[in-house]
Amino acid sequence: MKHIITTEALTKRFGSEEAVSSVSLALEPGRVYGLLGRNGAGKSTLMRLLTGQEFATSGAIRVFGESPVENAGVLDRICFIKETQSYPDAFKARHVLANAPHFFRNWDQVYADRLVDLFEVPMHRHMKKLSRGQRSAVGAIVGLASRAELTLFDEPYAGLDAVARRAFYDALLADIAEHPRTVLFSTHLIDEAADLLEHVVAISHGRIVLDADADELRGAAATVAGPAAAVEEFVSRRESTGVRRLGGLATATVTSLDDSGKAAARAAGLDLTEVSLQDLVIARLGADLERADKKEVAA
Amino acid sequence: MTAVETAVAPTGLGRSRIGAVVRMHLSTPFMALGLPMLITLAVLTLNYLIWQLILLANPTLPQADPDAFIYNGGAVWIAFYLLSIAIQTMNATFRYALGMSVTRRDYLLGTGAFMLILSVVFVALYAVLGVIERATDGWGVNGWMISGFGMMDLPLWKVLLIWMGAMLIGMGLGVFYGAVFVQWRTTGVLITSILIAGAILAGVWVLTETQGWADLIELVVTATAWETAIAIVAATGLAFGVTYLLMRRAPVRE
Repeated sequence: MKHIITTEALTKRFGSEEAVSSVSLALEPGRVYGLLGRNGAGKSTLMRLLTGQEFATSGAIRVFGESPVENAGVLDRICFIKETQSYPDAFKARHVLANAPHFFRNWDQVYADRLVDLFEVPMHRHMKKLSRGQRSAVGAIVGLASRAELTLFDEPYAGLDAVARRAFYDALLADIAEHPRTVLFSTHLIDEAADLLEHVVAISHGRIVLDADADELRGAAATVAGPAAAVEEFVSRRESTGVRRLGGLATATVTSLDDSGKAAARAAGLDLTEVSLQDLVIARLGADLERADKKEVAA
Repeated sequence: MTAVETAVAPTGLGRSRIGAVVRMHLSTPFMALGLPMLITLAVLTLNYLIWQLILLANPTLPQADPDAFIYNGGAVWIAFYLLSIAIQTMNATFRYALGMSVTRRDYLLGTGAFMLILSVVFVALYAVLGVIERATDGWGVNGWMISGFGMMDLPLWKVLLIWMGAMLIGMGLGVFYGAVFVQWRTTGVLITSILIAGAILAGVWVLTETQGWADLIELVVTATAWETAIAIVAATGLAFGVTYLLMRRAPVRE
């Protein structure tokens, strides 16, 4: 199987609003994908479509080569953890973790026990009485210990504090090294998770605006800084995310710059600095927003 | 920190998705089974105390009206309990179960199996209470709850079959309403209730117009136990079938 997930012109409308707009994706097995985007960009809807929790308006979805909708054979190999996961009122954390082995075929109880200790989850407290962070930790434990072939995290760690988030990233990194699987997770905290991501998909207004290998992205992009005229001249022949001026100086992020390009920048007296994944994504999303605004004004 | 009990993830038949849904519903057995059994015993105790109170105030009542305590609706509560628990269960567990990668079909089958287990357990409780009730001639005061509504002359198994039917219908209706609520929330429940009330009214209208009441009553009275049982199972099956049609397109709402 070449791709674990494929979508073709996938669209989801809620009334007149298009939450996911003609999305075509192909995700390879055994990689960690970051689904990035602003609030309301369509990340959660896309994930719900991929897991059969939501129904597409049009387009096609294939997960493990089949439609995920009402497909036990496909869903059996998926674990989808989201921050908004609801739990029965009477459930304590121990009920969630006692039920999970019956839902996930690769469940590792010993590992789950270790994670419970790591995240210090109060097992005998009702889920609705847990803090947001503790609820997130329960979700993270289920997501990690399920060892599903395809694991989707929809910001399940949003409530975790910085120490717990770091523990989550480290646990995920260590576990997928030992038990390779495909992970797709959405996050706002791009820099924090940057080391984890092998591939980045950015979504804005329901459309994919970036779908690229993380290393290639990082290696190819650079910020050029120097006299405004030189920067403008340099970026005029290249794809960039706009020029930011400060007096007579300016900076711009060039999204694709090979060795000869870098040499040309230096020759033009410009300084080159690396671009973080977060800056790059923000720049892409910003450019998309600008385009959307212009389109709206024109309309 | 207490870790969860170490267990190996079940495989094969032991890891049936439907079985996992049943286990999920039974995760809090006191709420599912223990509490309603206690409430049944409390209802019986309260009925008994009320009968004694009435006898205390009017010691000649058994002679004046021997049938004073044979009509009692205390046992009916369980059917309404199953109706409400089905709605509540669907609302509380549908999103959770689908979040655990369960299909809607497996969720509904598992929920139906759970409801069936509840019905069987409650009927078993009614059987025990019914035997005691008959052995004591109505708890010593000619008061009848399990064989209420004048059913003390019917064989106990028939009485239990009637209760089982009431529970299954309550559960079927509850699961149906639960699905409507999951899909369309309160507005859906209100509109559905209006439509059902309209359909019942239309049925009553037709029966009255065609003078069919006598035939209907004759049909119910002369039905054998098996015919009754089949009708109940068919009605419950229909409720589940319609529920599945509703649920197979139900999104997981946040």
